[in-house]
Amino acid sequence: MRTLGTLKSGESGIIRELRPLSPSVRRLADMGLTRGTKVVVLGSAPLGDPMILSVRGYRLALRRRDADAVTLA
Amino acid sequence: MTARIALAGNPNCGKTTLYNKLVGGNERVGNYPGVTVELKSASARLGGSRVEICDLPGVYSLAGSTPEQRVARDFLLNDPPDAVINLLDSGCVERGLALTLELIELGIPTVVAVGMLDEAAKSGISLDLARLAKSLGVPVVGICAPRGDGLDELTRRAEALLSDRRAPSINTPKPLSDEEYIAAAERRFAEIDRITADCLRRPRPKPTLSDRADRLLLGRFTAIPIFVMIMAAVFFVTFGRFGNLLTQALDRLIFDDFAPLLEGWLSTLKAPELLRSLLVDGALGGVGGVVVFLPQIALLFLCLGLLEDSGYMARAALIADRPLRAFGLDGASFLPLMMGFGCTVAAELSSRTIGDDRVRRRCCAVAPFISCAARWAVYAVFISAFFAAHRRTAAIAVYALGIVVTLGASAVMAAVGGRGRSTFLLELPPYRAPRLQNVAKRLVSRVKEFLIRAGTLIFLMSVLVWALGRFNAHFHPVDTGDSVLADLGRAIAPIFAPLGFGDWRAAVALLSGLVAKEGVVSTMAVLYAPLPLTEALVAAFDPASACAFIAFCALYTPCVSALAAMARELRSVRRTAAALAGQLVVAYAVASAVHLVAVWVT
Repeated sequence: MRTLGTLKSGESGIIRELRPLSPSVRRLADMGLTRGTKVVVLGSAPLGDPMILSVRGYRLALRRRDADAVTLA
Repeated sequence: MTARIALAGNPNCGKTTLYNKLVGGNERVGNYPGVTVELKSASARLGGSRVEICDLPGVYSLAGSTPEQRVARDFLLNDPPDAVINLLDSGCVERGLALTLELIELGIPTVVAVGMLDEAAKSGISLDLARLAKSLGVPVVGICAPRGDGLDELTRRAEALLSDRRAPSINTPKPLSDEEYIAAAERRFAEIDRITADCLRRPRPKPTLSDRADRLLLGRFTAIPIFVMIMAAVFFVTFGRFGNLLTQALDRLIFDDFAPLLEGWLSTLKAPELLRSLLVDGALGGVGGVVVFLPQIALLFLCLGLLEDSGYMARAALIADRPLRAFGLDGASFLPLMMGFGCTVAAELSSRTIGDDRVRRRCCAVAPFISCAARWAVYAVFISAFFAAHRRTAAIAVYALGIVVTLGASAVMAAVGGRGRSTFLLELPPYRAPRLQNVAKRLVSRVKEFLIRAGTLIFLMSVLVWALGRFNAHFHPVDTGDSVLADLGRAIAPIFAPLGFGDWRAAVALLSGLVAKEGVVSTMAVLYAPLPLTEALVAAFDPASACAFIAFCALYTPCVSALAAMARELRSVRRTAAALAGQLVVAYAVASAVHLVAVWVT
């Protein structure tokens, strides 16, 4: 199963669910990373991590490890 | 009782600009998520009546556990305002609406203000405000705060909410499990999708100017060189030739032009010698010795302000995340640490934008090791006395020492405290040309703060040091060497003897550095008067003990205001005391190591 953290620059996906549940995953949900949302990877920091997403019309930077809590459909 | 209106919105949505427009104030505005980290309120005239307007910290949600969220939530729940103006950035309506829905669920009368419509229209976004109002069931007003458009209608709407004022019934949310929390967020965003499908039209995303800029500024091979160049440029402008020229010019103005003028004026007035000494050696020597560094401090904050307002600071945080992670910090720590080069208090305050609890606490504890601009006053004096030939190398070495100790201490804390998992989430705002008005406003408030400190704290301390150095315990005027101050200094001095500076004047200077770091310089200036400070230092220190003194000044306990700020952010007496003790131990240990090496080398 693909997770958001494995996407490369230019790839996109639809969010299926957030798991495992943890307090830090709450912050992802606050930022609009919820089921059915489309995410596009715009790029990443020069060392490959964190990654930069386009989600719900804005740009969000997050670490790939955090992004692994987001599974894609 | 005056009615209270709260201003709520996401970080970096233009809330502070709106607040300033409504209350006619001068709050600092930035282009970095989380510039407003504290509650601010001011009274404003709304139509015919006076109301109190409270600017809440920017939050994405009310339910989380970050300090901003806690401040915003506690305010809304414990002491509910009569109405809320919810500002929505039309550039990212969907994310902003999540907060809107939460506010409406709370049950506080809300009016939604949609801002930055001009920026949104430029990128082809169209938002039907009437339909949005209908779906939400609350009034919606389009505004452009910088130009003042729509503010009349907004205040009219807010006034209308107040006029049918009932005691608002607050639906206090229950604590939720992770599962319920995420389900609630999902429900909200599903509703947002329904609402926006009806009223929001966005063109197919095409690369914006910001995206193209990011390709260069965040490019795989270009990002780090540009990052290093920008940060180096900030330092060279501030602490290099340009900044030094300004400081020297001001120094000449105060001590070569103004001081003789003051002395001449005092002698025509036939002022007694004691008064002359108090004003010239005490007040002017102390305060003037600090004020000369104002241009450099202002330059640093100007540079940081320009970077922040342009949107680059958020990119810098992103670039710095991976390297900082190795030291138990994260990208969000980058801005606080940079602010630390200006003022530790500013660093402590901006640490609230760090989302991760443990990282935030570490950052608060180690930020004082970053050399603030006040300490630059100490370095500059010592460097020109001892290392004038290697000015640049010496300055870089001191700043590097501060950075190394900051990162090292944080890494040790992370290793001891268990690294755990930390998360890092940061919104990247679009780039925009820095608005000079914003940058200038912020700069003026910093300069004012600095001058007020110099005029009050430093002034009083200089006069106190002067007085304590003039009299003995029985209030008899004596030579400085027999004064109360000298007794005090001699009591502490032995502690520093192993570091090579057992002089009681140095001990007193360090003690006054606890009130304000610039105080180290002003105190020395007063104590060594009438000898010029540079000459006096060359007589009192050797190069090795000067190195040790600089190292100690760079690392020991920050001033009381910084300490108070740290205690407030750490919210724990035990942690603050531990950080304090750590700073003293580290400063002493590093200074003795520096002294040993310096003695061995020379």
